[in-house]
Amino acid sequence: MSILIDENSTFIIQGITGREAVTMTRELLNYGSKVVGGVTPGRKGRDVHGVPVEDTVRAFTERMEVTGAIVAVPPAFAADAVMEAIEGGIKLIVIVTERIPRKQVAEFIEYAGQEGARIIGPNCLGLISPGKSKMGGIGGAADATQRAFKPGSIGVMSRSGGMTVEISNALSEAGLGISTAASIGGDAIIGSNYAELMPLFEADPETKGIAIYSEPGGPSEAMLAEYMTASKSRLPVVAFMAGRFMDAMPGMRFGHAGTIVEGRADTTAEKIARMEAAGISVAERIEDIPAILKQRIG
Amino acid sequence: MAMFIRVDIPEDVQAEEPLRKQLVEVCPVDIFALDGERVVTVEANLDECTLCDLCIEASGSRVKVVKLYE
Repeated sequence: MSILIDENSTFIIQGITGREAVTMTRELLNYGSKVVGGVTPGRKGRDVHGVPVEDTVRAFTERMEVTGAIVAVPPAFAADAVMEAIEGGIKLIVIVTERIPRKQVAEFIEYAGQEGARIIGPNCLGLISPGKSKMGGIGGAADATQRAFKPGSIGVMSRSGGMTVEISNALSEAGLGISTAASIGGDAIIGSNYAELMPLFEADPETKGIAIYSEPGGPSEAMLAEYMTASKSRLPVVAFMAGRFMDAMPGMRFGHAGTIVEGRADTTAEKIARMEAAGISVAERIEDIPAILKQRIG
Repeated sequence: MAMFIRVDIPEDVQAEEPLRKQLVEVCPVDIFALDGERVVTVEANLDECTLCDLCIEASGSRVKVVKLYE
């Protein structure tokens, strides 16, 4: 099994005629993902690598089952695109776009919650259930994706798209493989954090452990620690905490918009302490993650 | 002068008006533009090419995207 997407999932791509989306479409199709349509207002009737283009989301959702939408439109149009997907009845939305204003993100995440839709991102690479489907640019070209993401038993969650691949590749090389990997996004406000995705992995019998890439800034690690303590999760979790240098250099910029340290609770030292107190193993190096997971899974 | 690619548009493609328009439509980075009865490449946009192949697909492989760096 897997979480959120599998071999039967169908997707549309909003902004499919744009620069990044055209390439992403080809990569998704080559991987085997079922991309059933694309939306770009004013471009109805065209196709992108054989995928039909319509002006609206509803043009697809009114005549077929659509599992999810990938939003790959420029920042200025992203909020409208997400709202349109939610109003079109789509329940899983991966937002690739970065630099969407925080207020708009907060608004569409709240609306998604009201309508029972799940958002992954913004500013993320998306999801992959190896051997079944991927949703977003994660992994890049199909052959590279197949090498880095082998089917297996570890759920991966990461605030960095690139590090999602790095950790997954290490797990694949170690023979553990991936059930589902989620690039959850590097922004300050995201649709789904670690703690919000944990219950899904918990319910997936194929997932035997969790690997996490975390960064300074934001409450996601603290929320995960609270979840682990409160839920008595069956899943061993191993985290890699990047940016330890930032504790010694206050004010240093890290990269992602979500890595701004606004208080002591956001520092790496504090996050590591909270996670370890909640039973989460914190690896010193990425390449240590598979061995620790093997040891903890037993 | 483009650094990464050159786009070759043969005369038989130039002769097909719908195809000329289609090339302009499919390119996500606006490499093609209509110039009277011809389709031309926009020099400033050539290095924006993402190698998406949509122009090649649209023309039945008659349009050639030549990688200058290989």
